[in-house]
Amino acid sequence: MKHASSVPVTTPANALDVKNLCVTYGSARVVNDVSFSVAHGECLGLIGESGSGKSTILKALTGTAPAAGMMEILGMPASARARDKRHTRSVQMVFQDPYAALHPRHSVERILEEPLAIQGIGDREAKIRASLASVGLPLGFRFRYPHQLSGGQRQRVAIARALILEPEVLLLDEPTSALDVSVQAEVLNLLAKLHRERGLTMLFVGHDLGVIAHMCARVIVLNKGELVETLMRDQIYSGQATQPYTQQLLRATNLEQRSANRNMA
Amino acid sequence: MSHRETPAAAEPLVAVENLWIRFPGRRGPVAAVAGVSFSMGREKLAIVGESGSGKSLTARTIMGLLPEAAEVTADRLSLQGDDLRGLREKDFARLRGKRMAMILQDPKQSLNPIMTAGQQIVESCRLHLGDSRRSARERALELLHKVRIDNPQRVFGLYPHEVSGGMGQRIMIAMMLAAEPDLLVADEPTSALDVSVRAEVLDLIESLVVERGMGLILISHDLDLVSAYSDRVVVMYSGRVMETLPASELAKASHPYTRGLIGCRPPLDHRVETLPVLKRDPAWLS
Repeated sequence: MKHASSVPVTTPANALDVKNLCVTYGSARVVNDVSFSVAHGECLGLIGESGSGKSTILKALTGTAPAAGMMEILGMPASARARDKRHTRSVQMVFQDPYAALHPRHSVERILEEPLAIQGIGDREAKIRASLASVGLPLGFRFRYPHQLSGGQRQRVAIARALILEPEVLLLDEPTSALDVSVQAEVLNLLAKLHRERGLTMLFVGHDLGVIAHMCARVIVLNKGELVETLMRDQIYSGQATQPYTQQLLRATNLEQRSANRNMA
Repeated sequence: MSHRETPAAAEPLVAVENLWIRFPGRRGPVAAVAGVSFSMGREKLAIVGESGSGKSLTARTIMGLLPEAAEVTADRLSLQGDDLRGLREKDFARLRGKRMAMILQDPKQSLNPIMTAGQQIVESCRLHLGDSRRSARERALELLHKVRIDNPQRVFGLYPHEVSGGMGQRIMIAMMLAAEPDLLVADEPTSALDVSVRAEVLDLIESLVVERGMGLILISHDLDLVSAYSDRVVVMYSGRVMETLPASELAKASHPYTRGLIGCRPPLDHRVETLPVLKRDPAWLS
């Protein structure tokens, strides 16, 4: 089974294209007319507060939220992809809470093997070894269970599970916000390295401007289900934003960091 | 017990000496906290450490909120000179609320989902202060105002699921302040909140604590953040105190673990290629 078959005949300009996306639950419209695209190999940041609809956009992309509008992943409509496992392979996701994302009674080896088994991929032994090495975990960890791992180690396993299928697109839903800040740095370094070395396309969802700016050269800002602004990394670093909501977000984060630095000077 | 009347200067608000907390393990007891000592007056003390460092267990020991399996020994464990060792649950229940109170990480889980915000604060006032229905209501509204809620009348009638995380944490703070305790323990009070409201909530806790002359134990994994809201910092790692130092002297911290915790979050004004990462040294535990 050839993995490259998920790429259509003509290579599209963008890895991810979203146009006029709306998600409605009952009478509540949680995502309203959102359009954006992610170029091949880009890491795009998506930032907003709780309830802004950022995780819902990821759900829509993976076909687990009722979506209206156009979504194309690697040149193919997302709705068609969700039903075909050859295509699901090229897009993988890492979730916020590594405590909830790993099966508590499966060993690391079984956790990593499962996607391979589902996809009918052989040479599993070598792939498991390689994926553990790529996230910086010792080989012996394959026999451990999630409760025997720290939060950072679990998130590494979750990243290894996402990478083992060699996806082209990685969706990251606040991958570090359940971790200690000291461990967050380790996981961010790992993600940045993987992005650099593998040319992965990433959509990085978060609520911490510092984290997002560290990872992404371009960031889109979501407020109450609507896209309000696109920022470049330098605009975040220099505190420039045109929309009131983004300015408020910058101020709040600045306030936090300033107060954090109050004693450090 | 007449010496209870002596000024607080004579007795520290909290004194902990050589605290050990052990849990039964398959191969004998496992020490989660190993020989922790600190004492504090009516000041703001931050206990900082990563998950599993024993910071929450230490604070929960003072509150009498440890799991049953925990086995506690200490040379000293006291609140304003009163020995807390060997107290039973009903003794602790008498201390909690009036003399010490605790704010937890997630207001959504700590608030009662089927009572309105107002009812919960009223309950707290009636229980601890013996207020009448009417005066408890007035006090609750006043408390909501004190925690900087713009429209106390409206929030009084809201259920926990109807309020935001930041608002929920303000309601928790109002409840905990109702009985005017001497000691407030805040265990990761902002970790479940959006970045945009974290500073506000910490500001609020700090100013209320200072205004009332209470003692505050602020627990967090984020040294950069909490140090700004405390006078002194106790740095814990793997059940031990690595270092205790004034918050204003953090820049001069000598322990490599403390140094590693400083500046590990991505900065907001410039890009660093690789974020600094802690190198853990087994020698720290000897």
